[in-house]
Amino acid sequence: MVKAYLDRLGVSRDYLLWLGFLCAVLAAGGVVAVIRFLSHEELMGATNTVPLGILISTYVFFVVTSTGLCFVTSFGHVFGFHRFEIVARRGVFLSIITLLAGFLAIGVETERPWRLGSLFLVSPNFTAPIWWMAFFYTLYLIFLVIELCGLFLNRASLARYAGLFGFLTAVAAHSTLGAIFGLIKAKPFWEGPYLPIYFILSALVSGTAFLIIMTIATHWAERRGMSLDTQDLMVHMGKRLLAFFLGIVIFFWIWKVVTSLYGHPPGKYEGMMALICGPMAVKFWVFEVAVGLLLPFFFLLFHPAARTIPGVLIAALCVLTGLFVSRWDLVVTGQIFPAWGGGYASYTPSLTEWLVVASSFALCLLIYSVGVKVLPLEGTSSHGASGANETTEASALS
Amino acid sequence: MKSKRYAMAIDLNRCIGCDSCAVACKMENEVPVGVWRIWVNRREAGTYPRVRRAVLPVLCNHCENPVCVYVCPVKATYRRKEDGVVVVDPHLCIGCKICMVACPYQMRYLDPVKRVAQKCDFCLHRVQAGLNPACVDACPTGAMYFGDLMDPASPVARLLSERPSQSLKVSYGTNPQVFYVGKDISVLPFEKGGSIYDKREKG
Repeated sequence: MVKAYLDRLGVSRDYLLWLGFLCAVLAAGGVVAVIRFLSHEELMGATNTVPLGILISTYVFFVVTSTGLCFVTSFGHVFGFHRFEIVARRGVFLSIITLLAGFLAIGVETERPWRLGSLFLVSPNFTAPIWWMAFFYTLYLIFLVIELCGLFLNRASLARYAGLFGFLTAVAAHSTLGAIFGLIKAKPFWEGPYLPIYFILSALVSGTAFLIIMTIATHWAERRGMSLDTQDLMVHMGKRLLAFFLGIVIFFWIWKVVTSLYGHPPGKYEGMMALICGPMAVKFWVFEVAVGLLLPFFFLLFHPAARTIPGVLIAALCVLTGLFVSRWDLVVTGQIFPAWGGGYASYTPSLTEWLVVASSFALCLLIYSVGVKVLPLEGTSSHGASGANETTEASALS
Repeated sequence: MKSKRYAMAIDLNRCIGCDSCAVACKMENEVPVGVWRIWVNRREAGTYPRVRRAVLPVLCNHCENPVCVYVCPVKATYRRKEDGVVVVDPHLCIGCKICMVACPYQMRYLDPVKRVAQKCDFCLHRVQAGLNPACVDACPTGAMYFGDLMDPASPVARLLSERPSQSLKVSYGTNPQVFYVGKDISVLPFEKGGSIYDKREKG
């Protein structure tokens, strides 16, 4: 009887179990947040020496991904590369929810988040990069919602102009996020114009990888075939775009390492040494460099499996794992050398911080899982067949 | 009314590193366990038998060019126009902690009870009542001088006019208003070696 009822709703038991699991993870994060804000219990691993921890890096990870998704989906309906129009709706929707997941992480990290809304308007400080970041991300969110509405209503010009302004505000917001770190002179590892530029570049990597993963995972979860256009686009995004963007990021990283070590610049040198042979070395070499950059880069360039959907999926998963660790390393490494010397400061995320990280991912996946069922996320390409047509067997994915 | 510019000078030849300043500050401002508004940085240098120990009391420098003020998104921390003291309004602070990261001296902490950023405010409540900050009055050797730099008769102005002084980390361009006299702080061993900061912080 229950099964018949679920069939009538068009949802499977597995789907409901999945939603239940995500709700449970989200609720665990909610409990942490409530305890954190109602009691004086110290639930976070961050200290006064390393005040910004993994929740800030999770925020950075999600908003970087959101920006990247905005960039990649703009290729289609904003800049005229029509093959990307297939993923436009999904990409813009994901862009919104990854932004919300990022807001959840930073909301719990902030000690008094309920003051945020009013104070940003009541006593704004225009010299503060955080204020500008909040301003641009608010605009960005508004443009994304308008863009998504334009796509759903098939109002091409509305979607195009909202997408264009979304793109511009994404660049502004995201480079300002980089500037929050880049303008802190007290942290030489971050300071300089590198981070605002690097954040924009790595957003392209992050957004491309995330869109590949979610598109393939959705088709796999729904046990339906992928249109030839979509398959072709996934391989193109992996083999060409992702590999190209990875190459740029590797190029940037090489010069970041060289300039941080050459001539022992104070602060930068210590930070980089912490990464390459200090307390962060394992995370840096294994996850950030090997899993996140070099393996997927060479795999996508040279391995024949990089032309298949599973190959592209694995490469994208590696890249995203590496990027998550990379954000963590970036945030912590900047603070790891205390102002008064005394060796490296230590930071280990607490279990409760991990729970909030997990609930940010759960929020993103929960909204997406519901959105897939109730919103028309399958896009169409103006020059080709729709996503529903020309399907191949689901077995092609495996 | 003519504006004031409060400043502090610490004579390192007189400081004996007794921590009276840190304890007095704790009592006066009800600073919670595990965090400090002023503390004495101690460092040993050299090898036996040529070993020396240096002490350096550190507190918020009330910079003329305060980066913590620039980065605060909601103006919860600001420099008072009337006397140059950099203060935190705990009712405005959202606890984003960016000021703690941006301070080159790491003199800010997260109040574990109120969950907002806090730091030394030169005991403004005492100063406005015509008293010295608690640390200055508690110093048994009279190593700490406080007053208005615009008033040539104030203890700090007199000391700084008579003796050469230095400030911490001047390369950051913050223009600190806490000065050190008596020893050349650039040759003291505070940039390398062990720090008590983390030990103190973890209480």
